Amino acid sequence: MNKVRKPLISPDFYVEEVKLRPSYEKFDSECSEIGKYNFFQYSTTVKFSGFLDGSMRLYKIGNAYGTGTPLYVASISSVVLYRGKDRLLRNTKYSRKANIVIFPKECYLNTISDREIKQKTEEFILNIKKMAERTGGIFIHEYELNKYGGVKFLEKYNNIWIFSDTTYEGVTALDSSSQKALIRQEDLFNPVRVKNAARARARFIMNLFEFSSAYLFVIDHRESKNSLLVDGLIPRFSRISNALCLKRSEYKKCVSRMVGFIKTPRVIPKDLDELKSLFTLKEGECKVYKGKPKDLEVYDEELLEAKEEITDDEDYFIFLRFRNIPYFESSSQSLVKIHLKPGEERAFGDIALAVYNERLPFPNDKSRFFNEPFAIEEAEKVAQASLASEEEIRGFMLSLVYSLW
Amino acid sequence: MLPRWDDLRKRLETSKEIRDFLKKKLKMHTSEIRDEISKIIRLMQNDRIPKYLDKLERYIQELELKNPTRADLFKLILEVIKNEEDKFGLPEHLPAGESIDEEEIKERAEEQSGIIGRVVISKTTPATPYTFSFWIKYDNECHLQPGDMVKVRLGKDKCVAVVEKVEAVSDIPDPITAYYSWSYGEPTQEMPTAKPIIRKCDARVVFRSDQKHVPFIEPHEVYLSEADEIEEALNSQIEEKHRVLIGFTRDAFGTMVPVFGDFRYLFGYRAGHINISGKSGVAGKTSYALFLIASALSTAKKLGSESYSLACIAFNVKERDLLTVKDFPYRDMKEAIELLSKESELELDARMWEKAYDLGIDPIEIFSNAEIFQPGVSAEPTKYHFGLQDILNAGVDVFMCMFNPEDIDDKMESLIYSIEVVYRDGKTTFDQLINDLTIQINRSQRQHISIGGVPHHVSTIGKFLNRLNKILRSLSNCITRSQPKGHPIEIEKLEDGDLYIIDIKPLADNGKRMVFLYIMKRLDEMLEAKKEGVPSIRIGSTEVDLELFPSRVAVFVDELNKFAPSGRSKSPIKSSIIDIVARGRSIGLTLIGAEQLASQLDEEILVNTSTYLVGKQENVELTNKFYKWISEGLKDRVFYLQPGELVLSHERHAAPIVIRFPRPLHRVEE
Repeated sequence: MNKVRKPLISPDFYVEEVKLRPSYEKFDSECSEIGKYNFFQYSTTVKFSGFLDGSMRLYKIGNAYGTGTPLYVASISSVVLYRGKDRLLRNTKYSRKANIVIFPKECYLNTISDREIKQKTEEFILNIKKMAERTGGIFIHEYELNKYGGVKFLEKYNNIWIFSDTTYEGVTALDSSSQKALIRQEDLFNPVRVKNAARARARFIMNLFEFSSAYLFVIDHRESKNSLLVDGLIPRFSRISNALCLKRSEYKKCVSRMVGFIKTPRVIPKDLDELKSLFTLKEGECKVYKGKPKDLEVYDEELLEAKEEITDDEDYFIFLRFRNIPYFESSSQSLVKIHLKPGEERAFGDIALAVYNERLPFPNDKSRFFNEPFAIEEAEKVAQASLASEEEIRGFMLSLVYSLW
Repeated sequence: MLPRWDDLRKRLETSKEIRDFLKKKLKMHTSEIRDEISKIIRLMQNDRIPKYLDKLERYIQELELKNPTRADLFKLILEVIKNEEDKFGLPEHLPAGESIDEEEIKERAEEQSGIIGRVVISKTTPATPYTFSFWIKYDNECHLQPGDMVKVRLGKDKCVAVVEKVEAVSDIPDPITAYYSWSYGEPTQEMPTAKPIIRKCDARVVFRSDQKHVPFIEPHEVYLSEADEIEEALNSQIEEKHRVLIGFTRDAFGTMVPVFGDFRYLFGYRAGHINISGKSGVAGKTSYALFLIASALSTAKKLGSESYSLACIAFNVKERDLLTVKDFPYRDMKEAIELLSKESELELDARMWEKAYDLGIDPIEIFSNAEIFQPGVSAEPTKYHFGLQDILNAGVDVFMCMFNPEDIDDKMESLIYSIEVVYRDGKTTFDQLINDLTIQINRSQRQHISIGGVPHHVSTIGKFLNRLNKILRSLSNCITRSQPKGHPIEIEKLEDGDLYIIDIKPLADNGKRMVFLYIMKRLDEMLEAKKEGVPSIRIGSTEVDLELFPSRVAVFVDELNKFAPSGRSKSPIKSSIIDIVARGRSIGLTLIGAEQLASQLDEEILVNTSTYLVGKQENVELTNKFYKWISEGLKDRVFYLQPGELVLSHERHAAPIVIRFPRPLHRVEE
């Protein structure tokens, strides 16, 4: 009689829908106004030659034996496009991609008492490593990123497979003495919480990749005075420095050339009059504020990840109208926010003008008509094209499942 | 010290090593070598090729990886420069403090490497064993057009393909988006970012060195093709001794590449018949036919073999097209090439004639010896005319094709057969025939008269006499009424390498039909006998020796559709031509037919043809099924073909290609 097998994973493949959240505002009572500028009066000394964006897709590939805990694979990519003198955008060697297998492994092993399954779980990770290496890639555990040199490691490799254990908070959790649990035993049976943890983790690793790409680009183009336009908020030093092994001076050097572009501001000055004044900004006008960045604008959602105390200096935010339709009243959708890290005399007017100049040409996606720079849209497209396809991930999943039988 | 560019140019042009290299490796000729060296100097002046010698050395190393042949050329150039004491004023090292920009070196080397894109295999562009798609890089100086040739590197092997379609696309969804995107339709606005335009090409495989019939499964690199690769792709299937120059194509660097056809597939016995169609006046059908005749006769002469002997007969159907072939404004080919190359608009023709001459093709020699025959009832050897006996000896169908096809009903046909039986006696003239029949009608008391034992109604004979009188009046310039025999063209005297030009333009349409069929039938008889190895045959009362008669004859006739029009209706000449064409391949009788519209030509003639050529043509005509062999993309190009350009499909080539041919030397002034 055949022995009944115990599969570690029962395959259950689909793409997790990333829902578009409605644009909502969170009031920031701490920010203070620096001033209002008419940036048409400023010079075009600031120019963008690099454009950064990232992309990710989350796949559910199966459920674990005994608890039904979902197992996820995230495909992430970060892309820097370079704009040359011919005004054409080209992909660069700084673009990166990776696949992340996400599972609360330690919590699961502590919960499951079956020895065979425990053994298969270890085997499972080993098999991922083998498969990654067979396809010319490299495999690491997420906590090893720091060990291998952070940004230096990411500079060397492109086809990376990462195993991420969401049992604890933070990508360097196992390396840290303070191990705060993120997924507890009861959470293993709560697929929504596991999914949110997986998504937040994947997004965070994607941000690490994005910053790494930006850093490598800026360092290589240190002679140039041109800047890098980044989709979204510029990450805080404290969140990335450990994983990427960056010194504060290196970080500062990099962010001084970065301009964050937030197309849908979610955090807005609290004062109602201030708010009104933002929505009545005319073309060519901008308002500058000083305040602390909020994770909401990086992750679109409250993080399940560790939230360290924000110790960085206060940053600058510029509000301006990005695109206007002639002869029509300005739409609230065209209000965008620019994020700058504090540094030597940031020329707000020049930067605002440089960003405003990126309003042309318009993006091809009509839903982003008011607030998406074309170059960022292109970077996003390249990033999406770099992601592993559904077929690739499905093949990977099946190979893994069969390897354990 | 400033670089001495002119001195460098002269030295490179006269360097034996460089000339030999360009000739042998890159298949260039004198003027092409001159152009290539000028181009290299220009690129060095513009820093597209480094002028600092240390940088140039690094550039050559990089180029070696991408295009070893061109790297070898630059090695020779560097050697020439280094051998000069002052290096022609070129600096040996970069200025102090400057270092070699590796990115720039790679970029510059890539320009010379010829890589232009990659094969794309997608859901919408699947690859088949014979077709594939590829994208080309965004470079304003990199262009491909339908008909161009590209190379795909398959590891150690390669594939040469012809581009059939080129499309430029972007992901702008519609014109409205494009309008708004451009600052709400403000055309003067400068965009900080240029939206990417992607060019996609469809190509058809012409040659694969690995001989495989499988689709690509990798996004292989696509390169601009070079002369030697195109030559290999098009001509490697054809043994050198069977090669007949049928045109030229250009590689990506502007070098003219000869395109050969297979003698056995052009002029029999493997395949035969050539058809050229295109718009009158701009397609260059006659000019191409003359080029082909010159090439074929020169090749046959070069082969010097009894089994490959060839002669040509060309019918002058309109204007003075062929009658002026001897009127060269040049003494010889060398003078022609020299004078042509001095005029910029004829430079390309000079280049083609130069290459053709190197291959042993001399139209001046061939056409100077051509014999021209014109209709005329006189004893001059260059005039031809026919008596009743000549026509009857050629066959009843030759006699019948003088009549309008509508007049030939069963009764008339029967009467003509009877006349042939009775009056093919070697002595009856047309006048005597008319006289005799008229007397018989007048004397007869009955409705029927017996001719050759067959009764014919008097009204049929009356109709015959009526039509014959009209025919004889309209063909008075080529028919003698009073003599039983005239002075027909002596086809039997045709020898290897001969070109006979027969002027039928002054004749009425029925005369044209009669002369054409007369010649075709004679050739048919003689070539069949020759193929069978018969030493002589009897034509009429004369015994003709076939020893010197060529084993193959090519007949060029313009407006072929007049002799064998499309449609179901059968006429005596059409049936005879179809019959001759169907058998012509196996006996070495090749028809080089030309017409404005292939759709107006009989289908059977077209399907028996092995080589098709299409010049500039109207789109309406191109929708016809006879042009199905031309892909849609290439069809678009056909409308824009210039005089001297044709789309060619030859039995021995895997895909249709665009070829060029030089304008005839006797018509250069035009």
